[in-house]
Amino acid sequence: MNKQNLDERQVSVKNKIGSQSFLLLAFLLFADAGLYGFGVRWLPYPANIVLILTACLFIFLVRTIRANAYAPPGQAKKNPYLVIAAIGAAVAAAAAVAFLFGKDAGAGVPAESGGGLILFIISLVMIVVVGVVLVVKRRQG
Amino acid sequence: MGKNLKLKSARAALGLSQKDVAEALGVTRQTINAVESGDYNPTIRLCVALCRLLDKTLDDLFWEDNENE
Repeated sequence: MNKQNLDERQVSVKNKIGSQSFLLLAFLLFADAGLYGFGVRWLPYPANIVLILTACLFIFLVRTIRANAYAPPGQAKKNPYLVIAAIGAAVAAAAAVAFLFGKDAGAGVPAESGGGLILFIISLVMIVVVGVVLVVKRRQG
Repeated sequence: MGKNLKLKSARAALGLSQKDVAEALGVTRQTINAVESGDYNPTIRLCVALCRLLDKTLDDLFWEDNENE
């Protein structure tokens, strides 16, 4: 069996966690849409969507790491909290950016300009985080 | 599903730890632990690999009887 890939139990657990995270994401998005219909705007668009997406992603990654379904058996023991810290920093950065630009969008700035900038910056942050994680993995390997 | 005591005793008889078995088969120690504790149903591929490693038959390790409960 290939030690560089996840073993069968890890794949099964990761798929289960992924399905649950997807359902949680769908539930939260529907709930947010429902609240919007009742006039509740806990965060301006698209900050609310971005926050829900990054929160569900964070939950998925944390649960996967805790269930020992993140790294394959052949990979050397690494500190998984580095990944959690990196993702947490990305979530915090995304939330901060969304909050800062979301306030501007709610104050009368067209949503298109604020939303596009938010998504672009978040994408850049995600790419930087992935790059940092890859560099750390390569150095530890 | 009950604990797989046959697997555990076969492993212990050869003086192998869960980690030794896991490394030999290319799986994680947690997977071997889950199979022994009955928390995970291994595929036939993993069952055959375990049998070959421990020099037992499928019946010896995985046939459920009163001993596994």
